[in-house]
Amino acid sequence: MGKVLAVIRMFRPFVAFLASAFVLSGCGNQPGGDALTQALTGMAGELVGRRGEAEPAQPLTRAMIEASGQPMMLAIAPSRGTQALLVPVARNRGVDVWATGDSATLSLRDGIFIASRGLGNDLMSAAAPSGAQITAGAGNTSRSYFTLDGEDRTQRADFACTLSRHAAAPIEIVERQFEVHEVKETCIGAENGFVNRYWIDRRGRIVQSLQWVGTDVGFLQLADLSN
Amino acid sequence: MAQRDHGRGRRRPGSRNMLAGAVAAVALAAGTAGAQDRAVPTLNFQGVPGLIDMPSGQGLPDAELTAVASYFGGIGRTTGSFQFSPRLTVSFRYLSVRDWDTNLPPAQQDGFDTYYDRSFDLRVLLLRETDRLPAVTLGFQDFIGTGLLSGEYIVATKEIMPGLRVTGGLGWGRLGARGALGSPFGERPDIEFGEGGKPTFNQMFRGPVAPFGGVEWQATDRLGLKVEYSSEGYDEEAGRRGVFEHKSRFNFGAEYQVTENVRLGGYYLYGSEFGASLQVALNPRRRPGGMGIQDTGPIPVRVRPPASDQQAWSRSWAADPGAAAFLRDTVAQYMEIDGMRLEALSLSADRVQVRYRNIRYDATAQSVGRVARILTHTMPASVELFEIIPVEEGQGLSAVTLRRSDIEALEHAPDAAEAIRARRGFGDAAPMSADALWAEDAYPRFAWSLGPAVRLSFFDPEEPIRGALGVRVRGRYDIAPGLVLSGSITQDIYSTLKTAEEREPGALPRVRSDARRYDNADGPVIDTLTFAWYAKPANDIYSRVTVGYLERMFGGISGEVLWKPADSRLGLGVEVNYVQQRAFDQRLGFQDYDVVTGHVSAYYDIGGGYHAQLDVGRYLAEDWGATVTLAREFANGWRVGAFATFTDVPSEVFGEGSFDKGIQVTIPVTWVIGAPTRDMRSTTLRPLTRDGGARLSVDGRLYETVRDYHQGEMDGQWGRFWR
Repeated sequence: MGKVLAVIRMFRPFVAFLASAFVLSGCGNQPGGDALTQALTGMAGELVGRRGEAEPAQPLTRAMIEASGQPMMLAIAPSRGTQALLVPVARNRGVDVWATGDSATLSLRDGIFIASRGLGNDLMSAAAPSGAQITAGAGNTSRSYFTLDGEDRTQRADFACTLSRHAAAPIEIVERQFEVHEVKETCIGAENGFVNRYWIDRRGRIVQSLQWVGTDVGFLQLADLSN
Repeated sequence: MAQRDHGRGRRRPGSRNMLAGAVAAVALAAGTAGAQDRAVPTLNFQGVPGLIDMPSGQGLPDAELTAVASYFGGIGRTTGSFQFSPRLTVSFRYLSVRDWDTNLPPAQQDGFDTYYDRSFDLRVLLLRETDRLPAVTLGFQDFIGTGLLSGEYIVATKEIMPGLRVTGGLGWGRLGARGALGSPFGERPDIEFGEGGKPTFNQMFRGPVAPFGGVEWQATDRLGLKVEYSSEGYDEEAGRRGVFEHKSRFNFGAEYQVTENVRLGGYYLYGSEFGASLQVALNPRRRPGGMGIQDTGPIPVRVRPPASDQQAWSRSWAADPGAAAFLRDTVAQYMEIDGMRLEALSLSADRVQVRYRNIRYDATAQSVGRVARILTHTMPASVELFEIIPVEEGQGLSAVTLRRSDIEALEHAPDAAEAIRARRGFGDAAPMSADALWAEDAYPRFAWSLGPAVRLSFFDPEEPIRGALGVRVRGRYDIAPGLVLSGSITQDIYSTLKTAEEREPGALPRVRSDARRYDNADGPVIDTLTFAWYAKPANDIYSRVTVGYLERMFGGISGEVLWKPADSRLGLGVEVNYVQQRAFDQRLGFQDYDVVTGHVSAYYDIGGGYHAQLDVGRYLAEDWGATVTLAREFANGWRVGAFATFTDVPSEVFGEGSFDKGIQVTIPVTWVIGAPTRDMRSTTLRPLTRDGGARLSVDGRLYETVRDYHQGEMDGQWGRFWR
């Protein structure tokens, strides 16, 4: 025990240095300077369980979707155990930007995910196949993903993908049944790989998909609620 | 690495389990982006890659920072190491030896109950490990300290089968004390200790050379076992002073990897003592937890209606006298939401110039990107050219010019950041145009804050760490662009800095060595109270004049001019100060000593993340000389640097340490908390603070103020433009 204490004692300068680097900031009237305090308060909140995830106020119904009168998308991040409703906030050259209530955004071109913001390790930009290529359900595609590393430098990852078409059981999206088939996009890169899945209805629309964001976030399950 | 292979093996085309395989591969890749991936070698009691007390041949991963605390037999060591370049490791060590005098007759005692010492190591990785060849390192232990731990070694390490590493080496000095083979390069001369702090070149590789070695086995992912044959003798500690008993040359240890960054070890050393160590490793390039920066997304670009919409594209708004003020206020509101402040806006039918302050974003490119998107929402369609000028201390620091049609076209392009960078204009900020509209609340502006104040003093020869905790009130009044009245008052609440004053007679004016007397001040002290004037008298030239209580020990007047083009790697500056020493109570009074001090400085971005600075001039104690600073900087704001000052003060006059030197570490708070903030924390560690080579410490030095907005820094994080 004495040795351990001695080690701890020896470590004090470093602990103190770190502590001094990150002691609480105080209060004041300057905006923006209190990110540290906010982060610490947030952590404290999580520790005592005050924050939790926003509980679903009530289960989502078709009636609610129709009453809202606007397109909506349901996104689920299985790796984080979170889900969110998104609405379109901008459209630029065929790309729709969908936003959550807390200002995270997903950008999709023709239903194909190409960028995220506000998720932490975001997909900054991507070269991806078109919706028509995916729904064709056969052939090869290529993808390039651009992300930021811990130093904020852009990292590029290229993937070669093959498409395959599969039969699938009908799926239900908020009280509505869809007869679908599934297209798998199997992508292999230098360091890792993933399989995107798309469920396509009789009219050739992607009604639900499971698309890869990156190594940290994993996959997002996306369902277009306007169909 | 092995994990990745598993993933690859599972991805058989056509396999039904493809998704499961891919998910598993991804999960594994994410989950193991740690110890194996990074291959951080284990560290020894000296805090460098090694076995138990002996070094190994491996280097740290590039840019790795490690800290090790170790203890056995009354000897404690805390060592910080940094992989300065792929082949060069530097270490700073603080050593304590208990019972230094206890077993000696009074006549031989040094007067220490516990002896404290500081030392630097340098390690050069000569050979990287390959399939056939071992890693080989040449090491210089305690090469500019007091020499107590001095030793040199060449050592090789090879992983002979997965998880099993064998190390063998030859040591001189401390590492040649047991089982010596002879003295191939002659006798090792006695140390010419002097005031210490100088490289001990004449000793190197002299005297007896002895082999050492050992085996390390990583038995499981977490458990590692070590055994070594040590050539270290501890002749001074164990032999002469009886701090512990040296009975055997074999040491044994077991280590446990607690987390990716933390490793604990327990050991049995020299046949008589149990020991323990704690190893911590981190890398500026990896954010803790592996999460990215958590932040709300930006508002997306708003695309203009097609040009056929003549009403939207009309230029007649420019003639409306109220339009500019309305647009200015709208822009200001948008900026407020994103943690930025509008300073001024100037408009014409086809271009807008925005001057703003970035309060939130550590990555200045991100603030530029957010301003650009705000402008797509707020500017009439006819405004095509955006000139975005970040401002600090009232001065425009650079200008990023963007075409609105490029912003619209490239928002969703692959590698959008590089695409927009290739089409932007970047240069010096033009002076503000006469028709610019100031934001309503831009000036005058008052800001205050109240918070804790922590002051620490490290590695004091008698106590590893002292400190004071207090309360600090700061105020800042921006009277007009570039005219700032500011001050700071601190009241200590708890302090271990207050001690008996020792005043060794010194030949130099006591410009820094009276720190204790300043620490002993009771009651509130004025840290600073200054009036500053910042200006940009010409293109690429910045100026500053500061008058008042500049720092806690000196007050007076400080003037500085800096030449630094926004897209240049080189900056040149001149600073001249006339200052007088402040009273110890740090109120308004002064003492008799006054001095003209100042420097000519050159700042250079060498590339690859290395920065050099040279300051030549006259220091506070009227000594003349130069300071050389070499730093490794990371795009995310991390900075690890070392400096040394050589002046015309002879080392006998300078005192212990011979010349001023130290290490600076700067950590961006964003890196730690994972949310954007401009807050940075810096610490300078000096083995000793003495009066020679001391510089005035004045706030708002120009280079540090402007550089974040210049090309090197902004482009380093340009990837965040679209965040």
